[in-house]
Amino acid sequence: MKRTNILLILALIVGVAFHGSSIFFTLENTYDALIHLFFADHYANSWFEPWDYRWYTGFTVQAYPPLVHQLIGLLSYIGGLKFGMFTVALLAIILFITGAYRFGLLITANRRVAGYTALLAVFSSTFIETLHIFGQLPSIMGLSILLHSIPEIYLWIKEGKIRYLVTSLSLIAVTVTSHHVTPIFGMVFFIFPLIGMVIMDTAKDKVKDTKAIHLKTFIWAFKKLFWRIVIFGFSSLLLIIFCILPYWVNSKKNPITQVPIPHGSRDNFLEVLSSGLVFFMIPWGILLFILPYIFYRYYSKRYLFFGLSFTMLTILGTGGTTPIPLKLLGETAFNILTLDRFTLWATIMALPIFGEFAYRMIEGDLKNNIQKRFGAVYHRIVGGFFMVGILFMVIFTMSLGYFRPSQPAKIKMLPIVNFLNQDQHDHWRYLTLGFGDQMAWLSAQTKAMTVDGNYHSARRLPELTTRAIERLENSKFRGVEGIGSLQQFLTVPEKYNLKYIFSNDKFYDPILYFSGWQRLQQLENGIMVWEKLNVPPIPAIIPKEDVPTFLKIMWSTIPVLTILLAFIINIQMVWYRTLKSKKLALPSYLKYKIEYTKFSSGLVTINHFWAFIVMVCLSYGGYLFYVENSTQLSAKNVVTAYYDAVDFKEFERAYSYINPDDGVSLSQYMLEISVTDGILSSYAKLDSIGISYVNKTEKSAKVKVDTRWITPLDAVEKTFYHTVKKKRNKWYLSVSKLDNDLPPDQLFTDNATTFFNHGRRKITTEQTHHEDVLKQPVLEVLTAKLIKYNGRYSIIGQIQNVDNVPSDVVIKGTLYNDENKELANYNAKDNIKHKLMPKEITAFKINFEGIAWSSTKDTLPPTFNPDEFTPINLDEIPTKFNLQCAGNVANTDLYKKLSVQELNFTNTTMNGTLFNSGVQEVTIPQLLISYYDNNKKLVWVDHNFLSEGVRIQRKQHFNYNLLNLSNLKVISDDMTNCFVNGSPNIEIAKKMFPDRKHNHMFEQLQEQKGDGYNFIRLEVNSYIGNPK
Amino acid sequence: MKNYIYIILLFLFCISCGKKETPKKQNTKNVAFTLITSKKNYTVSDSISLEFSTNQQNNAILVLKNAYGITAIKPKLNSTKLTYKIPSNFTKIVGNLKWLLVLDNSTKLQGTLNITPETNNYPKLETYLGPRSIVAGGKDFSMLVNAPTDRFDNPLQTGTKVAIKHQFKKEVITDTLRVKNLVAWTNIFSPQKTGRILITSLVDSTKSKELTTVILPDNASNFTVDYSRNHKYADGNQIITFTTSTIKDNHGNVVSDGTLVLFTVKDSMGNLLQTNGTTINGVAIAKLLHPSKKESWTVTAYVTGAAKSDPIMVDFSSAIKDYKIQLSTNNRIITIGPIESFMQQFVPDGLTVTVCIYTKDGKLLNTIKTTSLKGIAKFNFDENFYKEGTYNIKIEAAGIIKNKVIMLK
Repeated sequence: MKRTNILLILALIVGVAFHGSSIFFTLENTYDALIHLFFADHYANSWFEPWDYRWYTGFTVQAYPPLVHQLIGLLSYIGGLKFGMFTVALLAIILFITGAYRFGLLITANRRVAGYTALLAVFSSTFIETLHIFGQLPSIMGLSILLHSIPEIYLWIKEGKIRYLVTSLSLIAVTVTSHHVTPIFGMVFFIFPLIGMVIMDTAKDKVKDTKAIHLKTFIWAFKKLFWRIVIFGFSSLLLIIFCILPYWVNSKKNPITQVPIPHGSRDNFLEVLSSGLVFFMIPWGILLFILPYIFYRYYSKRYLFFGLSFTMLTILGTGGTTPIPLKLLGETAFNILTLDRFTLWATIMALPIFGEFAYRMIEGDLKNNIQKRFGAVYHRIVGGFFMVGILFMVIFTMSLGYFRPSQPAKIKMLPIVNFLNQDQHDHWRYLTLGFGDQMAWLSAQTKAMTVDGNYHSARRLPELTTRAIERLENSKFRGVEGIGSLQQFLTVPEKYNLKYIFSNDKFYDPILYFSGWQRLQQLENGIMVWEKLNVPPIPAIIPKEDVPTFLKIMWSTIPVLTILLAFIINIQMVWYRTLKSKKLALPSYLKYKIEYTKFSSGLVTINHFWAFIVMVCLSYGGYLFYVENSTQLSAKNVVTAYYDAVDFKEFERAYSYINPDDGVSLSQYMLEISVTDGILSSYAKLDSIGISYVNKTEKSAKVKVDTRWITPLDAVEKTFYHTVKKKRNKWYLSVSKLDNDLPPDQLFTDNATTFFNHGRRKITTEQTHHEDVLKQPVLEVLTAKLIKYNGRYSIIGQIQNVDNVPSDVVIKGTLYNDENKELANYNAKDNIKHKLMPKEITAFKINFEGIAWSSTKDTLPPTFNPDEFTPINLDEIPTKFNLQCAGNVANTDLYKKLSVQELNFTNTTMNGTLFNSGVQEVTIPQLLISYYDNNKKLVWVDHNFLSEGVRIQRKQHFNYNLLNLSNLKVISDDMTNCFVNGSPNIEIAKKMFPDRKHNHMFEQLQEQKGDGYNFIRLEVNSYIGNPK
Repeated sequence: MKNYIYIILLFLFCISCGKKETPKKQNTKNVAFTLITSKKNYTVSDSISLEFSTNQQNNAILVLKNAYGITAIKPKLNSTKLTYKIPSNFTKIVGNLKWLLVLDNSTKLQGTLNITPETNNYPKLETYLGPRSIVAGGKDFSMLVNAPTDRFDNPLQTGTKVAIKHQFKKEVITDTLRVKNLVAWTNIFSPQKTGRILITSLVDSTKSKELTTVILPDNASNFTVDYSRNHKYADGNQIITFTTSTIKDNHGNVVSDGTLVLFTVKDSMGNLLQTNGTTINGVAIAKLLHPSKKESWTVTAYVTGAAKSDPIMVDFSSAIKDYKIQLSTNNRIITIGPIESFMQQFVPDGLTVTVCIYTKDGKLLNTIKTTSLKGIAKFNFDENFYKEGTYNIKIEAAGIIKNKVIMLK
């Protein structure tokens, strides 16, 4: 009888103590954990119904194997969802450590080595990363159970006892129901080599010595075991199909036809260093140093197939660094799979060998070898190096989430949940912006629905599936596609019953404002709520895709049954084994124990050599990192560094690049920075920067900096010129001149009318009383035309608020052909002032946007362009249009104090100065320019965002290039189909403005001849970032 | 196998339990009925029973139909007398109640009862008024709709009186409407003045709540515009304020607060500048900076489409008559100024000064803009970028242009 394995016990205690306590600080900040929590919440609330309305306007949870979610759901009945999640995580940790032990025992047949394996598994950086950074609970669960099943499979094939077939299949079933990819690829990469090893062992039994195994004996052994392999193979295949049959049915029905989402694991790790770090360096960690040993061991005859598999996994895990993974997997699989899982499997597979290495290093022949060759001290140094290396990787990996948080700071959800429950706000859909994966946690806590979601394989709306974005929520990180998708949702929110947006990221504010959204309130957790007027609530009945009842029952019963069954079947064995209550025959794999007597000296040398190479590579990498980041080494470096600092708002660092001779103090510099507002300084992200020398001498240079900034509205290209000087071997930037403009008044007053709408005056849960519903303000369409310009169709026009209250304006245009067939509809986006005071006029333009890249032929543009426009693909030629305008009482964003102070024209440009005469700082001024022909008829509307804001009582210069409208064509100016609040526009005009003075408009036109126009009219719209 | 036998036996037992009831055939052709109850008109919620006498005992059913639905009831038998008690959900509904006496699928007798609403037993009154805001001037109106009902929600009879009262300023008008087509309605036209009309209705002893419609002003009529400023000089720094007269509509009401007034300013170049004001108590105020050079502005204000002001002229005389240019010894630093304003004070900080640098052949090299500080603007032509040689420069400040040829050393 063997002693209890002290190393395993140690591994379990340390593992549970270390991981079990740290998950409380890491798991909720991981990428995936909260998604699983949302799924768990779904099962906790509706166990048998796979349809969930809360994400993507409805999706099915049958798109992801349910076991882990259902377990969390079940446990949530005891102590809530998070209790369930942490309990399952603890379970996964224990299963992983014991699984690694059993796998190690199987491979090495040595309890001591297996003990080391378990201990190293606890500290393996790949496990830490998967659990504490990625939060892939189902993946860990599936992998751990797969590790547990491997010895059983070995025993079945080796011994052919039905008992082992049952145990192995029961475990495979659990693996399948917890994660679908693990068993499929696990089959290939773990079980195939395992089968190879069993055959080797059987062959060895015959010839008594591994060296004597030849192809002939191998084939003999294979024939002997053939039927067992076939039986196992087929029954596990059946299990994979049967246990998650609804999943396969669903994938068949809704194939993943989406545009692939870029994933870091497919990058070239040498080019994208961050991906290399996360998907290569961290998972491999200390293992990198002993790669030759791992290969050497795995390519020994017994493990030959593991060696092949390990090599494959290692190569596949390198992603886009080499072209091999792409060729091996093919385009489709390469773009769907996340390749980091191959590295995960490779490093897990390496664990037993690493355990063996540790054993031999600490108490085995390697110790002797090294001590004999290099002395005892060196052995201790090397041992210490490994210890430090392991600990360094553990701490480094654990702290990654702390220093480079992958998620925004934790958001208190309660105020949002309360807001959604209040006043029937959950009758509309909502959208979160800048929440990261925490949006899943919000969704789990509310019944309200969102158009977004966090499990991209289940996306359904074409607006989402045709773009490579995971979520609308983080669309700014996905460049043009993200913002493009988001803009469609923001412009036509009625289509999705989207009324509320919770914004945790100021970046999106301008696009929200210019799409006609308004700030409602700031919740106590700092989240800004935006709302859109004129959006109907979600209808009482919404469509869903139903599945047959038997699939629902299978889905909701089989996973839990598999775990019960596996528990009942396997617990006996564990019971006997641990309690030693019944004498068990030793598992047959323990027969193949190797005596570690003589460590190959050649290998020691080779491994030393390899470790040296790794060290050199790492040092070189570190050196490159230093050189690239030494900011003042050259003129270009200092400019890049300066813009980088400004981009990240690290102004103190930016200041350190300023020439000290300029005599600007830090406080002066900070002051100058703080007084600039606008889209560039407040809402932009530096996309690319090109630096070229205008002039260069030894000691100074004039550089031209072409910058491209991403803002939520436009990609802004701006060129700056800087003088750079060298001083004491360091390059410095000279400051730009400050505007000395002095406003005339220190203190001044301004009066304005403010408005307030009670909403519901009666405190009641009933629908708002009809007396409290305000009359919709009446608008009048003054002109409306269908125009074809540059191959695109647009509806342009002018609309006036003819009522006595301020109005929010929503305009929806629809195009028809001669047969009155509807071709397209869209709303006015940012070519309009959405908020009008009484009697105010705005020009508007509706561009008909299609869903970008909906046809696969379109190529994705390589860089970001938020203003990217995808014209809709019209089958037929539109000849008529319909305009539906809706007014709703507005009481915010009514700032009208921006004036045009100066104007100058050249043939093609308009220059001028805006002056802000009010008391609010205008963050983003917008110009709306309408063009008129010689009869003073409107022909086109254009707009322009200014990149700098206008401070109070100050001026801001602007520059606008006038358009060439020579190829513009008016298709229809028939206004019979213009409606306001459902009434015909003509009736409104007759009633509200029977004696309209049309010459007023004509008198307000600026004469300016150009290509295709004779007059223009200028309007200004102002977005205020921080209303006071 | 044994179980199957049990199952089959049980099954057989089960089906043997059913027994088809065959009704007794009765010859009903000769059965005759007479209506005993003679009353035809009832008030709602009266209890109604219909009695029939017959020559032969039978179970004829009475089918009832009204506007809401249909039902069939069984009689209470008393030898040859059949009594049908009409259920309360049929007696509570006003209108015609049609009945049919049916025996064996043949209608033996039929008739109609008339149920009328209660008139004075605390009727209920629903009132609707909309729109809740109308425009002054007598053309626009709010519609008041009264739907008086009895306590069972039956509309009261056509012709029932509904008294309405509406108050505007000191005046209270009383009127009487009559129910027609279930409702009593009227249009309340707007008066000439703004304010609010309070409306109430009364049926019998039942009163409605207070309803309100707000009278808003009509479209603006022409107005005048004036300006105020600190001085007449174009220093590019002081603020000129444009103010409208109190803007009123054609009925003398002050236009609604917040009405947008667009001020267009035509400068001497013919360019249209603009500024906006929103009215408070009919007065809109808009501001602009003084121009930085001699100007003559023509200002017109619009409530576009409805009203405008007569244009006014505003002249600015130049604050800066001239300025000096000084060159450093190597000509690389150009100092412009001190720029003096109309009282020989330094011009307020921030006056834009532009320098254009041309080569000898007139090719534009660069345009540099700066702003004055303490009356002085400085330009530095760095030797790294401007090689030694002769350059033409053009300096512009406050509309005064100066050309100079400089020799950079």
